Amino acid sequence: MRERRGKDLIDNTIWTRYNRREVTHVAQEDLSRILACALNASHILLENGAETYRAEESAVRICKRFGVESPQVLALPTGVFITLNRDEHAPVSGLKRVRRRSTDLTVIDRVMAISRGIESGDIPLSDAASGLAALSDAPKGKRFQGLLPSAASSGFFAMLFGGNWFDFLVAALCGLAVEGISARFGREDSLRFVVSLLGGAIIALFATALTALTGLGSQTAIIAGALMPLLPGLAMINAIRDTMHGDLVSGVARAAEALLIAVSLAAGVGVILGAGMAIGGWLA
Amino acid sequence: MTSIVFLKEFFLCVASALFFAVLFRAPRATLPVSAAIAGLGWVVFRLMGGSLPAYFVATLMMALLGEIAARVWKRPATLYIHPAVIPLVPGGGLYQTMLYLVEGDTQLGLAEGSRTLLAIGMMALAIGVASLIFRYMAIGRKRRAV
Repeated sequence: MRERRGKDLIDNTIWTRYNRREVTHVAQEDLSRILACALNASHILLENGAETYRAEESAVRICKRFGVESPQVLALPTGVFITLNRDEHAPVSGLKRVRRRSTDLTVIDRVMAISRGIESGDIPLSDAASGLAALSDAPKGKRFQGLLPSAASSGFFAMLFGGNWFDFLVAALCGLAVEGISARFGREDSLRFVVSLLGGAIIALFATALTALTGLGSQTAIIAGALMPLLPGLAMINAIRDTMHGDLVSGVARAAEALLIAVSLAAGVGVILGAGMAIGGWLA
Repeated sequence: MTSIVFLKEFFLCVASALFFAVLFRAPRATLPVSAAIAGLGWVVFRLMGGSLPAYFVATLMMALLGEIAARVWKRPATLYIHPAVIPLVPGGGLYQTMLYLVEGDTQLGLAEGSRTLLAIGMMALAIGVASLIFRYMAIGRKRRAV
């Protein structure tokens, strides 16, 4: 067994024991604690929109730091598996499903701070475990706190894509409505496509109706701007990055999700635009 | 004249990226940095005429700045890069492709689709290259004793 670095008194209950007595493998109950901590870190990262490699690497880092020689970690967009092997003993495994996925960069930041703390030896395992548990249990802020930023960014994007102040207002209205719907329903995985479909339809409806009624603004700029928060562009980039990184399954899964979201958006917008053209032709 | 257009677009881009970062629940301290990177990237993209290589160069610049910011403030680079690249991501192209296909216009759909996919690939490649540069050259980080 490789000699451990002497000053690693990370966790009194685990690390000191192995250091002092030169035990060659980690005991069962400690393995389960390590496993739970790594699973939690990986799971929280996946739930909050981190890259697959990041979720895998932090789990590996935590396991290695606490003396597990070659942890086997597989992170997928829908779950994470970890198996820890000990010499001459049955391996210990764990699986944690990822049920809901959203983007929360603050949570990613906190988990990475904990994972870095573990690696540098500043955070003992018990603190890391309680910190991670607090992160996964914490209520995700107020449910509708995304309304204002969504409205503002939709509006500014509409202006960036060649709109005027009228387009800003209409796009902001769309952003408000869409974020309201997605905050209410979008957390369920199975409702995601419905949210995209409805979102696309609402945006197209507002853009078509308000530009036609007032004769102001540009329908294209409004739709392009208001769709920005819904569009799966970043998801597609992450899919390609996963694939380039060798996480083939995650890459393909994420690409499929991105394409399906794009189809739902297009269907939502397409239906309304088609109906608008039919009504316009009928009136004329 | 054109410089005024670029200035206006810079500020619009900064504003939209800023609110997008809030939507992504980015930590407050990272907001000004990622928004500024977004604005710079957009101007570079527009100066290069919005061609396919422009996607690569602009994204590479943003990703490198994001990696530098990550080293300076000791946070994951994703926090800076994700909100920053958002205005450039041709998500609209993905949607437009599907819209053409839904409307039955296969020719336009395929043209738009291939262009969009190439642009997204360029951006992914640029972010990957920047991350590789920083990971394997271990810039700003002590090389770990393995």
